[in-house]
Amino acid sequence: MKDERDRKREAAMDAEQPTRLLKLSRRRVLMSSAAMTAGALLNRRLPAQSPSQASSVAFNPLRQTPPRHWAAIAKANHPPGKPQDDYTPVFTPNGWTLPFELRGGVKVFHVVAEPIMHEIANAPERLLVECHGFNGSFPGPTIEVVQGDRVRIYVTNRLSMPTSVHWHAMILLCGMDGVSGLTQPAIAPGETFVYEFIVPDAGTFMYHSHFDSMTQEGLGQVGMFIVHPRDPEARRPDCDFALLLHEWEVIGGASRPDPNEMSDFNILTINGKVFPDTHPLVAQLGDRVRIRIGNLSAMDHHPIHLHGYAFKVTATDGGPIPETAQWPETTVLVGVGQTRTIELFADNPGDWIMHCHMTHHTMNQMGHDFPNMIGAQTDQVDKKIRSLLPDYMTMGTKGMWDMATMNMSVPENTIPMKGLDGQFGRKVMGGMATTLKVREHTVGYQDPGWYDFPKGTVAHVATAAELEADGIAPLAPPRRPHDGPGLRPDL
Amino acid sequence: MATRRLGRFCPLSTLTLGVLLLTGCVSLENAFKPVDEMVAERTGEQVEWLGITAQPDEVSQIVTELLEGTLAADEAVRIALLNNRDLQARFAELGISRAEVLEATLPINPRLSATWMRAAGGPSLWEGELVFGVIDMLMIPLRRNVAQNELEQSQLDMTAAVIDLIGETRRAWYECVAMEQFLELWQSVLLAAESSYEMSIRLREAGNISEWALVSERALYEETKLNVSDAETAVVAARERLNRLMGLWGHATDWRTPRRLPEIPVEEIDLNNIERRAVERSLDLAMLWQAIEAAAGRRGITAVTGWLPELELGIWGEQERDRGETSWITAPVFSFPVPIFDQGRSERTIADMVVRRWWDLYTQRGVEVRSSARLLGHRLMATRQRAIYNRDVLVPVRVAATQHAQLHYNAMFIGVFRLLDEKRSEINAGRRYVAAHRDYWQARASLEQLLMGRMVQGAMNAPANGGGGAMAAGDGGGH
Repeated sequence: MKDERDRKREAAMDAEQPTRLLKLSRRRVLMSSAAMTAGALLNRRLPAQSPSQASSVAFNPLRQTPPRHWAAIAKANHPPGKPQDDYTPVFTPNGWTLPFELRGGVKVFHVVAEPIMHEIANAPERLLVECHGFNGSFPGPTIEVVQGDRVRIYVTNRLSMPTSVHWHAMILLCGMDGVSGLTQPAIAPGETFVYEFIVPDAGTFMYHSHFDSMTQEGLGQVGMFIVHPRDPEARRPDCDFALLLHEWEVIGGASRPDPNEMSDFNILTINGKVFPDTHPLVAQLGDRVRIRIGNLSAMDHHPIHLHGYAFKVTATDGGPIPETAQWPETTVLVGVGQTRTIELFADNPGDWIMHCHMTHHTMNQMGHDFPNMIGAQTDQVDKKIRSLLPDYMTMGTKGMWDMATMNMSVPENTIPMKGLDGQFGRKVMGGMATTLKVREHTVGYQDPGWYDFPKGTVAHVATAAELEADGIAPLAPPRRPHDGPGLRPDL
Repeated sequence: MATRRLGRFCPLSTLTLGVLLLTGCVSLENAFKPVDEMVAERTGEQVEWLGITAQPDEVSQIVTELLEGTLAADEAVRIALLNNRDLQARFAELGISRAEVLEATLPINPRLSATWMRAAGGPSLWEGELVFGVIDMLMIPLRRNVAQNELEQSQLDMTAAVIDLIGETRRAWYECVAMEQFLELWQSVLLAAESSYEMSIRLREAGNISEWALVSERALYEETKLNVSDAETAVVAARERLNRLMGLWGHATDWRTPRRLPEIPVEEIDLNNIERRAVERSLDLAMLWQAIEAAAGRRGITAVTGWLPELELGIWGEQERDRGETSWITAPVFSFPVPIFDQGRSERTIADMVVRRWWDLYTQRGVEVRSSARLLGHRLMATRQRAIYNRDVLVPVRVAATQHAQLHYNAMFIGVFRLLDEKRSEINAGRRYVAAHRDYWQARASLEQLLMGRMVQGAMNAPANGGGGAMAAGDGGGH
């Protein structure tokens, strides 16, 4: 039934398109554009110089036959969705949501692409980078609307280079797609473009530059675009988090990420922060938690693993996954350019780490050019080297732990290895990680501090009595049955 | 002047007293005096003639004292002036010149010839002749002037030898200190290479690196050992050069220099009118001028002797026997070569040409002195700037680079090998600085030598940055 309708519409469009193009003479274009008020801004920007450009001038996105499946929502003429009434707003940890103004039933946003200073980590070691962002922040503010909303988004380019904005995974009319050169001219420095459309689909989307993406996405022109469903019956989550994954190469001691890097990324961020500067995801016991994760890293997919819960992936950027097709997971792989929405029922209190399971993605800048020192006996050499370099000591023979705990002086503006000073000591972890904190009582999304573990529920040093009771002799561990080269003879 | 004046002593004076009275000529001590004065005036140093102006044991006492503690450049110079036997041998040449002056003032001894004749069964009879060379007697004042001129020339020559020795010794001293510094720096490079290699051994033992990586580190280490060995040889060579110049052997060679070259002085040698000053002070030119004068004097003599090389006057006597009585017949005689064939023209031509040759040499040497002054003036400023640039820019920048590398190491951005590489680069910058520093001091010593009156042999051809043999070895030895 539905298939047939689609086919008909597509056939109609196919028939209509050549006629429409043929009818558009240069003169008509100018006349019609002069008469148009909605496209005034576009007009000024786009003198009709060729038929192909002329067709975009005459284009009024709100009057076009909506493509495919979202004709109904476009025609329904919904009033602008209201926060709380129509949707529970998402929370963007370490980020913010872009406010809008209502103008004649249209939600008007103003997005500014600009060079910014962004703080990836704070005390004790601080990393401040020179990058790009939107509206003064990286990632750009979350844009949040309701399916069927009419939006008009002004995009100002305050960069020294041209740019454009693409509404990633949103299925729009082609001229709103934001691909410079292909669907629109690039937005020159100092120019402001306007995008206008009816938001067709609910889901978790993103927005990013589509001009010299390698440089501009790489330098931080990325953000989340959340569309809530226009469905009063839809089950709303109690907590809704938006996380955007990104990666950088910031050479130790430098302050500008290198967008030319292809593989050696050393700063892996969630909403622009590395652990433990990532704000925790706070939920109350019994909450239905939704976590939306987008990935606009340059080159890496991220298997995001959550402790303490099995969850279901309920949607991708392509739309919701039917309940019957969902399966339980503890790790969701978020590929580059994808979003994944996971949902869980917060029934397991505690401090639960959520991190990319690629271990190098939970490290910072250290170690990339560091030789493998594990297990080397270097005491004698140390003395010798200290006669040349008094501040020298061999590191890395016991792993990265040295570095995280020594507090040695390091170059300015670097975060070699940030650790978390938790209630049980130092956690050697950085990069793409955050925590899900589930408590009986919470105050909004405020960090409730460390989890107060019920007595007797934390792993501890085995007591002599425990060892004896279970017949464990720690110094003579049981060997495996086949006596292979298990232990180094010199140890 | 740190040394005290040594007691004067002249053992030969009594022996030669008669001759001196006869000729009115100078004593050895007096012949030496102008040298002493010229040296003092030009260099501020003082020279002694062993056995004439100073006793050998006194000198060796002073040398021993000077060798105590660290040996400064001035002390090395003083020792060389007291103890260098080449220099003393030159002083002996002064004695020879002086003796030649004496000889020149004495007339040629008269010649006596006699014949004893005896006829068979007859009585024996004498015939004889005593003749004096008259021309020679007439030539004595002329010859004396020439000899005196030659004496003065050899005094200049001696002063030049002293100045050469001062310059040589100073340059050798700077070389010596620099070579010791090079060695020390190379030993640091070796320590760095050794540390890298040992660290590689530990890593290999832990199973972290390949045998290949280990062997590569070892290769670097072994190469560095050779560089250290070269640097050691360079130290020995530099020390031995100084030992030769200071005339030392045995235990006396155990001296040590300070660990660092002296700081570059704030006040620099005034380079104004450097050409004129160099020409005015040039002993090379003064000596050539003396040679011109001596040759001119000889030409005067030749003017007479060429035409009439000898004229002898004398008395002839013969015994005669007449009736058992023996009596002498005497008559005056004179003899001279009749200038029919050789009228002495070739001798005069030779004398003319000799004068002319000296004149041309004099002119050319003047050109060289001026060129040398310009070159050394330029080299002084260039090496000074280079040394200061090394000290104030390159070395601090390298030190800072090591400090940054240390921070990056602390952050585990780089490993120990990179850190040690950076340290090695810093040490290499240190070597560059030492080389520049040495070049400055050697250039300064050469310019000072020129302004004392002597050009440096080979100074024209030496490269501007000095011969940095130990410098070049193993440069760029990173990995």
